Amino acid sequence: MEEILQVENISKTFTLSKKQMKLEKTNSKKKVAVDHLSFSAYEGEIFGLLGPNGAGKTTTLRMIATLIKPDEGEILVDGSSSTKEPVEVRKKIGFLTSELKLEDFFTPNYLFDYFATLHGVDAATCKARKEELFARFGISEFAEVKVANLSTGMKQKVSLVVSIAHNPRFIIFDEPTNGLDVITAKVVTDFLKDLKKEGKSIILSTHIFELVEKLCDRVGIIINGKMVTCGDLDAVCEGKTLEDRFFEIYEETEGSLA
Amino acid sequence: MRSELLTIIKKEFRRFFGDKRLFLSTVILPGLIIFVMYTLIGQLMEDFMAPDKTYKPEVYVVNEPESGKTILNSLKITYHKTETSKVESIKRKIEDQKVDMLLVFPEHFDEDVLAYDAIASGEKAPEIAIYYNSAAKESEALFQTVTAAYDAYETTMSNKFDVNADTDVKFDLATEADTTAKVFSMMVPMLLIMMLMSGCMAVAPEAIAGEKERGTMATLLVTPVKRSSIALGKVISLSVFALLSGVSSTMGVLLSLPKLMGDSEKNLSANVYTVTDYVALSVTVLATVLCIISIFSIVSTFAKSIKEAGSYASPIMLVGTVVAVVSSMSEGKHALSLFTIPIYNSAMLFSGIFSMKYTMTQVGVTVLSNLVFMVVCVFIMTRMFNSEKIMFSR
Repeated sequence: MEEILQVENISKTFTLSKKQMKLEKTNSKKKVAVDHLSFSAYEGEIFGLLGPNGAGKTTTLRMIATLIKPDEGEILVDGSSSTKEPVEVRKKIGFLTSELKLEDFFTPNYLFDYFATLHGVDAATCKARKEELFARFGISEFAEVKVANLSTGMKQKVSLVVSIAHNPRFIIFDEPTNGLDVITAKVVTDFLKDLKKEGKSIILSTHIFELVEKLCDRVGIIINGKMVTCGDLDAVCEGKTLEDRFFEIYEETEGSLA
Repeated sequence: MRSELLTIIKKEFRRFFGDKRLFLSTVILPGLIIFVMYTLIGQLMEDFMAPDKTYKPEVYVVNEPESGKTILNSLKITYHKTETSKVESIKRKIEDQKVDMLLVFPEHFDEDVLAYDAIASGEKAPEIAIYYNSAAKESEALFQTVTAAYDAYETTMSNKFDVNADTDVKFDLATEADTTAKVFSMMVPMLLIMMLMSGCMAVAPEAIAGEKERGTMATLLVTPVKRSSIALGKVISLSVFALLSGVSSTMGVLLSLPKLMGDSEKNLSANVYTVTDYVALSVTVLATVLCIISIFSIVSTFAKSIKEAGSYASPIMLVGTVVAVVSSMSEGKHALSLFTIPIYNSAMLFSGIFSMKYTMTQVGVTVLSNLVFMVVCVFIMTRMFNSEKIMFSR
């Protein structure tokens, strides 16, 4: 399988404000968010990124998405460097974060066209892709309804299709099923499976162990900015459930859960 | 770059013009509210200042002389005669606004006045004490009328010459243009800057800080669109909205100002300005909006939320208003270099345009410096869009 993503020895340190130092209960002004992290993702696979809050998952995903730059190391997306050729990387990726809240005023139809146009998708391709995705997610009948009047699940589905309007090869999903009801979550997970079948490469950051077990081919566990284990799901689990194995690894690394 | 820019501008336009509530609250309401408010204030002030013609004042006179009778009768004021012993109780009634006025004449007032020779005697002239209450509208008006009548009476007693006595002759040679220029150049520049700033403040936080707050800015930043296109697209579209808001407010001010100024400025008319003046004004307003919206866009980019952007915008508006007041009040010839200072230049130029004392060079320098300022701001915003600390810190 072709290697789509190469993350090589990346690090990122943030300077904390006084307020953040208080919250983090530290006297150090510097916080190492990501510490010499390396992993790869391949064509047609879903790579699961697991870790507790503040482990460095979102920072890693933002670095891959070119939103922030690593202090050191290199990220290559389909051969393009995230630091040297960010625009090329942006053309190849789709990025969905759970923090995304679409503007209430617009309709799914308009938002899809807007982001597709910004990604340089021509009108005919955009129309065909929109029809396909809207039908797939049951958005068609709500296409002209303003986001404000959509249900939470429908909003999340619209966010998802908007983030992949340009049909990217490589997709980053940060907590894609966050806050979704079971039915909508199932629609989203089925869609991720279909994307995988289409040969897309996906990075999935989530807290839901079951979701990783169901979807991911490989998994990486980040604790305190370091990749403590990374590999095939079966190899990482060592015959245990992912949840049990995760807590075992966490205790080995941090000493205790508390 | 052009198509990306257009896409961003079109989206902002769609949001602004498609959202009836936003359009109404940003463009229609400011002008309408200002017009109604100023007109109402003007009317209320006029009503307050104008005495009630049907009102029967309560006036008391002590030691009424013959001259006093004649004067008060000529003013059609009915009054009660009273005694010196009642002065204190009547004064208390004036305090309580139950009596409007008390005139206390010295005994033998008329005789004393006739006999008085200021130069020969070297003594104090006979004095009338008029007690009134300035907090009571009718009492105050009565005092003005009676004082003016006695002043006139005093003048007639030793009349050697008059000033502007012929009421049919127009002695104040100020034209309608002069009056308008004086009043408009005093008040409008400051109001205009404030209105333009309010317009910018109303639209900028939502468009940038709002996108950050909703997370849509991150989605926008992972598209291949250049950061400079995003910044420029935001500034251009926001300028149009702020301009519409500013024009609405300005129209409200200009149309209601004559009413607000009341009877004293009946000569006010915006018709005294030429087409060139209006062109210069429009160009300056546009350049000012570009400059102000650039500042607010930077503030909005820096803020983490709409609320935070709003809290930063208020002190900026205060500083802008102070700058506008200072510059519009500074008189004399301004050095051309001063017209390179954003906002200060606009206030000076507005003042110059409204007083019809400006040059096209001043307009040119102001427009050019504001455009340069906007370009610098767009560059700063582009850098800010690339700054992870500004865009993603919590």
